[in-house]
Amino acid sequence: MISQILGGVMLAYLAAGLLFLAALLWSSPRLKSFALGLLGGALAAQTLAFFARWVASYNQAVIATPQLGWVNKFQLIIHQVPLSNFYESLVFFSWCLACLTLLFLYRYTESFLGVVGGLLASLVLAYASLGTDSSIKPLMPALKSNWLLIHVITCFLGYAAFGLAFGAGLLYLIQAYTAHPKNPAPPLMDRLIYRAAVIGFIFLTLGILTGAVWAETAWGRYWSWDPKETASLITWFIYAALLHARLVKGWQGRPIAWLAVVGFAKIMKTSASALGCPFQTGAGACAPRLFKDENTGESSR
Amino acid sequence: MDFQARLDKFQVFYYPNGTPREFRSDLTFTRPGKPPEQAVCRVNDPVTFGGFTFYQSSYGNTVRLEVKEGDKSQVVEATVGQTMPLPGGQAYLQVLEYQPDVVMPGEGQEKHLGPAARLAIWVGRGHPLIIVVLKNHPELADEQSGPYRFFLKGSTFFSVLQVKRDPGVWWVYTGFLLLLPGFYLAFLRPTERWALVLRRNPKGAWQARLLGAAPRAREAFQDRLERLQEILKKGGTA
Repeated sequence: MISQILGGVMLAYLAAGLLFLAALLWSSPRLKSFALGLLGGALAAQTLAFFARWVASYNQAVIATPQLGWVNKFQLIIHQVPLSNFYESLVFFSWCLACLTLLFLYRYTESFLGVVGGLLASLVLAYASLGTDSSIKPLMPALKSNWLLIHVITCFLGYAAFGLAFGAGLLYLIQAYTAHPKNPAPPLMDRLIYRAAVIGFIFLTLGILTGAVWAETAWGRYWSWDPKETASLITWFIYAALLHARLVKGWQGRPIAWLAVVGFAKIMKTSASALGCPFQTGAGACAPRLFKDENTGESSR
Repeated sequence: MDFQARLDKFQVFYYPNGTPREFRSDLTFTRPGKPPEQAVCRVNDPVTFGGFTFYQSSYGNTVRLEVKEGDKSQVVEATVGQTMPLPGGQAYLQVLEYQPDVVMPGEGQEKHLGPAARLAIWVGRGHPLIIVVLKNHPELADEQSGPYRFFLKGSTFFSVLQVKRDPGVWWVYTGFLLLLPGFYLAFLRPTERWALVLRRNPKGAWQARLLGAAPRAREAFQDRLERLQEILKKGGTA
């Protein structure tokens, strides 16, 4: 049921993206408001699907640990937030993309934002549905923490903002290297890249910090230089360079757009090469190997 | 440390599908002259006592083996994964793996063979002998090759706890928190410079020039400046 809803949401994001494109090409306000409605409706449906999966995940966990007091029940609800594996993270990533796109559209009424956001969100959702295991797995001990919720949310809001900066950067570069009529105006896109990068950078920093606090409370170490932490630090440096170059050196236009594209490509590459790397959530990856490994050689029941 | 910590027991709990649900160490802390205190340490749920924090960081198995060589018999304890010399020093033993229950597959008629361990034994410099010992089936020892006969007697868990005393944690967290106002000031409140230049023109009237700059937010500032200009123009010539 939930996967059917998500399938519909994926198509709706795709359609919204294409409608925004049509609205951009024919400068049609009617098509645009229709696309906006479609994007908003799909986002609402995905929000519902998210909570439905949360409920399902909780119900499954309750069977394994019955007879809980209400404090523990609340704890279990928090722990069972559907952000604990690659599939759930990707679904949430697409939710963040759609949500941020809507917020940006509210501020800047530029259709190209809808094209970028809608297409990216549907692409991520399509990959989640087709390429990953969507079954609800019991939560491993390493992820049983209240920090899971806040850590994953901050990280993925950051990634989603970087995704929008990437899309705007890509469009900017296409326009810059071809002699297309300049619509949307390059200065506006440049500003949007910067705004999105600032939001992403703030959230990525919060994500890294909450991750460090989680690691400290769970393992007694803020940072253990595992591949995932290193990858997120490199990403952080790329966007820090972007912001620094713009704010201090006054760079604008192409180099900033390139950095936005490269930064997001870096996020995608690490996620593709080490399956689920920046997407595999948080301290699970930083956990001592023994507690991550599902085949610890212990199978007594 | 002015106290003692004791591990009472270590347990692993599983979900119905066999993946681990909880790793748990039951600890007792005793301070001279005070009643002992008990605490449970889990993954993601450390215990703090007397300024020290105990983290559940790993665990493992120790296997108790009876080793017979001819009519000599001895009991050794071996940690899974570690290599140790056998009594007499002629050979080396490594417990490669311990399984609490080996199940023979079969639809609806699985057979539980009980605890089992897989051992590697080096006698001299040749290849290791790989031997499987089953606790509940000591009679299989006769099939073992090599000069020794091994019998699995039992196994215990051990728990690895990381202990840390770090009074600086809150300083670090304060630093984390301080980043937030820093970001606010750097990105959301860009610096602005304003100057009001007053000058008397040759006719003796005062002339004012308002100058502004915001190097970190040029476009946004430009918009504001233009709006301000409009307002000033509308305000009349006074």
